[in-house]
Amino acid sequence: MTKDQLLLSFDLLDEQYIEEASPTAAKPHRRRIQLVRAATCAVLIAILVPAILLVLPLFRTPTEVPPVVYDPPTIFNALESPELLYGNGNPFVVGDTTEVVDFSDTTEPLSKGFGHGYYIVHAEIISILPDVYYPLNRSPNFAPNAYQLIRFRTLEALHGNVPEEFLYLMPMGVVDNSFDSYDTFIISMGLRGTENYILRNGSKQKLEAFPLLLFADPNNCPEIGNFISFTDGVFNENVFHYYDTDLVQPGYTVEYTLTRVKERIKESKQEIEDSGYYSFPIDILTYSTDFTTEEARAAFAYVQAFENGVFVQSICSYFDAAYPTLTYTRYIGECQTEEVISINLETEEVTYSEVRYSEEELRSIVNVSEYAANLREKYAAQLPVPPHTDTQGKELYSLNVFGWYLKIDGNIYGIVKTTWLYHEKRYDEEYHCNVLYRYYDDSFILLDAQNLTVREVSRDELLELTGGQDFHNYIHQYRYNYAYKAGYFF
Amino acid sequence: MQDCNIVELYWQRDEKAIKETAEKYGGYCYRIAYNILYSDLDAEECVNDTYVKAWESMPPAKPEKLSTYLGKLTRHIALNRYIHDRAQKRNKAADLVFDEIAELIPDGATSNLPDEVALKDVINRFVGALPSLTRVVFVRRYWYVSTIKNIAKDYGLSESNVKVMLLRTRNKFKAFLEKEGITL
Repeated sequence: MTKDQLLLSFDLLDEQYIEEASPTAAKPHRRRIQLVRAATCAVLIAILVPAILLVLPLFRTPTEVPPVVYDPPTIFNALESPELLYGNGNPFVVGDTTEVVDFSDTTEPLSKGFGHGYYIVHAEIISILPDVYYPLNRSPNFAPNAYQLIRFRTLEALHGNVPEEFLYLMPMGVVDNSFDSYDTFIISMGLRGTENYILRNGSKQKLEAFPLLLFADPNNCPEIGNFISFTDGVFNENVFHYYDTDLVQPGYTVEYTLTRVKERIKESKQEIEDSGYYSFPIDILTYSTDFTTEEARAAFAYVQAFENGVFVQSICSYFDAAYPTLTYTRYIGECQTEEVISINLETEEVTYSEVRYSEEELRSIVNVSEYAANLREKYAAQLPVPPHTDTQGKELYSLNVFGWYLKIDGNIYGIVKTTWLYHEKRYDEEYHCNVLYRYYDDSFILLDAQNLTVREVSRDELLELTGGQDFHNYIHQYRYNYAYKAGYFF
Repeated sequence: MQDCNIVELYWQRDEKAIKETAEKYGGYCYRIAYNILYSDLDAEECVNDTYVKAWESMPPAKPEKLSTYLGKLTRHIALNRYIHDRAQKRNKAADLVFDEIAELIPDGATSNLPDEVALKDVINRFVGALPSLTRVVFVRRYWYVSTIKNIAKDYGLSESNVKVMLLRTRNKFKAFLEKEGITL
């Protein structure tokens, strides 16, 4: 027997053991902490802190770099074409796989919808913010989903500590002119960020922090039933065509639907308690940032001080009560670095990444954001040709340009990556259905401030430079000219 | 939607079954595939293959626990893919798991497969007899192919604790297999 066969033979395990060890099952040591007071505090802080528009003053004396020495590829910014990203109605196409960067730290719920554990709210729209936003801490390998922000007023918090007002991150293409004609919505949602959650404002080309708590669909897929909308007090399915038919049907009134949602929440809680398993805590968890140790207070103050760079906050495993940890990643401009600071909300233990960026370094650092922005502009004038893909018969689905920083042996490098994603639909003889295939392509540009060079580099060269390390998983090798199956049409 | 209702959709050949599956278990399957393949596109493709396999297999299959049924399909597809692609694409995390498993196989072992029924019985008896924490750690590592770091985090252990626990369990497993006459 080979090791491959032996590992495959673990398929013979009984289901009970598999289920018991599921990453989404209850952990034996899990302690449920409910810091409602802290939540209130966090909300208050969030509300009191004014909106901060972050024009990053990090490049006071940007290093001069020579122009690119090759004919720069393209730029068409697919980010500005939401219909390409969302308009095809294919339930399998998601545009990007959003949880990759946070994958190891995220505990996704097993089930979704109007179940337990989510924030569930009956709310009305206050306003729809006009700008386009992009998340920072999401995998940018594909075109990052473009979002609009909707400001809601809570009418009734059905589950969880939903504040009086909150923001909802809604993928572009969902919100149209008719959207504010709905009276109210019942929304099942996940908390995306706590205080000063930062997004890139694509309309104004800058980062923006938000004082209101920001919620979103946990799986970035609004089509699958997280919204129930009402017009004149009656369910209206026009915006969200796919919904939980067990819960709501055309003709249901808002009062009746609310009753059913509440019943569902109650049933789900009971079901979970009875089963002994739960995908995530039944009660909504909130955390305190009112630290008692000097170390935690200092770290928290450091990441809040925006002149030190922008630290984008995420909550590791916010469904997991065992080790709630605030994690801050330094961004320079819109570009990620390896500098990460974590504060364990339970133990107040602070962890600093090995790589740090000093104030002095920040003053003379190469401006990767600017370079990426210029490249986007060039691409906008002419569509770039992907270096490894035969585009015949394929449709460009997304094109993305993004950059990041790497510090290697004391030298700071900027890397700008262009990614292409093409679609092709073919009939599959084996499965007797149409299959949507995706083709991936990319190219890299290295900005070397030390040697004052800007040049196109291959993935292998990059990996050689980094000693094989791929800190952000951005150098990761996808197969070129390979048809990735993305969905089936039966 | 309840699992039994989703399975019923498969039996009715209703394409909504796949939507419901993706909604409820897409993340779960993706996680299993990603642990093994360490590539978002590959993992996503693997999850899509899982849906097709589920569509093909139900009926006649009527799983009681849809999550583990799908998980098994995903794991199988992902592992086979990983084995197939290993020469071109390395996933160090998965390689480590394979290397640990290789410790159980004595030098000069044949490529003959032991009797599946016997192996299933032995594996489940061994796993069932483990203390609960050891069991979940063992299964997380060798079924879910989770990293040591994630296991440690999820169960409140240090990484060295997890490593030691796994080492001891592997040694016990090897001895148990030998005792039960399972020759690898």
